[in-house]
Parts: sequence; C-alpha cells; structure tokens
Amino acid sequence: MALLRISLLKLVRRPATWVVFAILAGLIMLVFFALGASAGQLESAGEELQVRLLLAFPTAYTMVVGVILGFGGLLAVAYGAAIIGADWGWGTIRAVVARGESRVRYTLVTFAAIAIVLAIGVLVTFILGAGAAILAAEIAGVGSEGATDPDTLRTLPELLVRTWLGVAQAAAIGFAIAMLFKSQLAGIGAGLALYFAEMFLMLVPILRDGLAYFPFSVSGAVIATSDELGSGGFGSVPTLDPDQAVLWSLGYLVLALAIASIAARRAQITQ
Amino acid sequence: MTTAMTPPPTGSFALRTQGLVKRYGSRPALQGLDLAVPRGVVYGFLGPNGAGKTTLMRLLVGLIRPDSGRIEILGQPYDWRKRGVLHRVGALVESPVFYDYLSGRDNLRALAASGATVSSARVDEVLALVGLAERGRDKAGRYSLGMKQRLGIAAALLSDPELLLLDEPANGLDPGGIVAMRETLRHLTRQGKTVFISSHILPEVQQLADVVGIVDGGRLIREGSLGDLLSEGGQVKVRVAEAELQTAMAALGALGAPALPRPAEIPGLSWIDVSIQPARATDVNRALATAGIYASAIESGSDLESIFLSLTTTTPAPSAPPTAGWGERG
Repeated sequence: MALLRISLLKLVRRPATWVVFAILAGLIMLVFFALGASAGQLESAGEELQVRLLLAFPTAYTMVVGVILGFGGLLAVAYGAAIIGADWGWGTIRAVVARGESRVRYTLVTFAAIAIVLAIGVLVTFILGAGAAILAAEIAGVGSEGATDPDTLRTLPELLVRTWLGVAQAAAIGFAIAMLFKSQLAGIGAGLALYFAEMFLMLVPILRDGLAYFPFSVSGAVIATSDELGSGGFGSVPTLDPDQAVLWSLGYLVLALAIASIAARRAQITQ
Repeated sequence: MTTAMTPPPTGSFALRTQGLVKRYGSRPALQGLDLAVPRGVVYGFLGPNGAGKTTLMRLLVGLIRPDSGRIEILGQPYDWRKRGVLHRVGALVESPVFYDYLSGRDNLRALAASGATVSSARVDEVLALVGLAERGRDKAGRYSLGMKQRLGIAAALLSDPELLLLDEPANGLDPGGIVAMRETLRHLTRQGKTVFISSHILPEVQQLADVVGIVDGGRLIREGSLGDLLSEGGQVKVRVAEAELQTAMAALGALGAPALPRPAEIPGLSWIDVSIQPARATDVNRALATAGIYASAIESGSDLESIFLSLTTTTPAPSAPPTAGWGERG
C-alpha cells in the first residue's frame, strides 16, 4: 500500500498529469461550446438537426464519454508511456531496483496508480463535459431536461466504468511499449504510431472486418454509440458489440501488463 | 598478479565475488573478478575508466545479470532474481537521479516505499545526517550537484544498511561535505557496518579506506590492506639546496637505493626522490647529516596514486594537450 500511495503522489505532483487532464477537459468543453454556438446558424437543415440530436440528452452523455474515449484514449497512450518511460529515461528506476524492490511489483503498482488517476480523470472530465453539454444544449435551445432523467442517471456508472476501461487499456498499451523500449519518447512515439496506424488500416478493405478486434478499435467500442456519433473517434468502422469489446479490452489490458512485467523483469538497466 | 590478505572465514565477508564475468556484446567488462570484502571495513575499489567498476556495482544491485560467476552478499548467495538481501544493503550507483518535481524529502519517501520498509522518521533522520534538513522541502530540481549527491547518500542510508555500496560518493561535494561524509562513513564502520566505495579519486580513498582492491581490464590486480600497500615500494623525498645537490646524491648513493633529483617549487632548492622503504627515512636523514647537509623537508611513505599508476594501464600525459588523457580505453 505504501508503494501505491507514493506512486499516486508521484503522479499527482507530476506536471504531465495536469497537462493531459487540462488538454482533455479543454477539448471537451471546446467541442460542446462550438456545437452550442453553431446551432441555429447552420445553413443545412440536416446538419442543424444532427447538432440538435447530439446536444439532446441522453445522447449528449454518450457523446461526452465518446470524446473521452477518443481523445482521452489517445492522450492515455502517451500518458502511460510517459510515466513508466521516464523512470527509465531519467534513471530513477535504478535506485528502486537497487533497494531490492521487485521489478514486477513496481511495474504493476505503477500501472495501478496510473489506472486510479485515469479513473479520477475520467470522472472529473465527464462532470466538466456534462456541464459543458448542458450549457451548450441551453445555448442551442435544445433544453437539458433529459440530463436528470432517473433512468439515464442509472446507466451512468456503468457507462463511466466502461469508458475508464477503454482509456486504461489504451494507457496500458503505451505503458507496455515504453517498458519494452525502456524510453518514454519511444513509448509515446510507438504508441501513437500504433493508434494512428489502426485508423489508417481501415482504408485497407481486406482488413476492415478484422480491424474491430484491434486494440484501439476495441477500446473505442466498449460503450454503445448511436450511428451519428461514430465509435470513440474511429468513424464508421465495423465495431464489436460493447459487451464483447469489454472482454477483449480486458484481455488487451492483461496482455499489455504481462508484456510490461516480463520486459521489466528481463531488462538490463544500463542507463 | 593478485595479492590477497589471509582469508577470513566465509561468514566474515560482507561481499564476495568468484569468477564474475560480464560482457557487453563482444566487449568484456569483467573477466573473472574475484573479490573479498571483509565486514566492518571501508573497502576502496579502484580502477581506471572502463576497468569494470560501474559494471560490478550494477551487478551487485541487480541492475544487470552476470554471464557467469558467483556473488555472495552478507554471507548469502546472491541471485539477480532473488534480491531480498538488498533490503540490508544501501547503494548509490552512478550519479544520483531524482524526480525534479518532488521535494528532496518526497523523493526519499518514494524510495522508502520500495524495498525494505522505512519509517518517515528515518527519512527525516537521514536528511539531517547529510545536512539537508533545512532544504528537504525544496524541489530536487533546484538542488545543486553537491546537494543531489548528499541526497543520494541519504537515500543509500535509508534502511540503515549493513553494507553500503557507493559509486564515487565524493562527486560534487564541497570540502566540508567531503569531511562530513568521511566522518559518517567512519562512524558506520565503527558500528560494524561495511562500506564499499568505487572511486578514482585516489587521495580520498587513501584517507578513508582500510582495504583496497585495484581492478584493471575487468580483473582484480591487487587487493590488500591500505597499510600493506603503501609500505611496499615506497619512497622518501628530501628537499635540499641546489648547491648541495651533487654532494647529497653521492651521500644517498651510499645507501644503495636509486635516487632521482627534480626541481623543487622553491627556487634554489631541489627534491630528491629516494626509492627506499619509508621506515628507512631516518637512514636517509642520517646519511645527509653525515655529509654535512641539512634537508629543508623530508617526506616518507608512498601514495596510492603512484601505486595505482604503476599497477594499472593508465598513462598520465602531463605534457600532452589537456584532452589527450581523456581517450576511451578498450
């Protein structure tokens, strides 16, 4: 527990944590304020209707978590890689290992701390995003009555847990890559490259069906989204059923942590 | 040639290596290193750049794995997969690194949470011990090189270790800090703890170490007590007036020891280096007095630097341009 507590302290005090959070929160609020401001000014009636649909609750909630999964997932890849990669790049891992600490325990506890910070981050950005969505709905004249509908509110905890799982899985992939390369820059670079490579693969017709099982497609599919929202930043690619995606996401998360643990155990620390 | 002290019983070694081999690709870093560090001493581990000092430190704390050979720490066989014995060891390996955005105290708390359990009272205790109590709440990123070094030593002391492994501990410390560190390490050995220092700052090691091991090319080439080492092949230096140099050389020649004159730092005076046991300094003095010469200074004994240079492949280049002595060694 002491190691987890101190790992959390390290994350909370680290500027990267607040930068990532600020980027995501800022982006979500920007998206909703832009939508709210654009409503009523669009020339096409179809586009106007689509904006109003997006701002209407409960769809707006799904859109908030969709943005968290999409942009947040992307940022989580970089964040996971940055946290563990820095231990290697800065050489701080040396002192920990030299104290006789288990490399695998340190790796897993560090990720547990990242997952906890991500959970808090998802919750806070969701609250901020929901607030921005309510404001945008009022600006657009759509109304926000649906935001407090009891049936909708009951679904929110599960929606948030699924969103957190998708984001944590993305972070685990960046984390594992940084651990393999023993570098935060390599981890961030390779993690983001993998993320975008998956998006570009949708252009290859032969891969389109299989793409649904790729890690970032899976992380984006853990929540059910309506057609007009796309799926977690991946547009109209085929996606898994959300429940199936949760299982695949858990699988990728465990696999990434297993790879990171094995890499940590085997690594020769010469930095 | 390796000269060892009379071997104490196995359990009395704080650290032992046998046939330790480590290669980086095709480049050998350690080639069968046999080392025996008795308990309760300050052991100076010396060697030129690239001799294998840092490689040994990394192996001892499990940062890297040996290709072959055995390591025994505090009487227990040590395996990089089972490093529990390191809970009783403190280490400062290479230059100390910390999270710049955390305070010095929080950096120590972060380390205290890994490995052996350490109380927060101990964190404050070691901070005070290295003179950082007042600056403990400042961010480590604002620390000077010397303060980071102090913090590194504090980190090594966290778990009140029985064996302390320090890589160049005097790096960046001011003279006051060096004296304080020396006193702290001496205090630890008085408590029966063992201090293993890897260094190439020879005067510092000479002041601190009880036992010295010299490594070169990945092999131990000399190991023994500092006293034994310094008493072998020593010399006596005498300073005489230049006008009396020839007479002095003739008088010293009668002792049967090679003597070599060189200019002294004071005009009109010369040093004569006499290759003779330091214990025979009185014979040198008597020979000069008999010849009617009174030396203005007599220094006896050997220094670690000359022994180190004679044993290792390091080549000093005093007359070469400053960069010439910094080349990579294979």
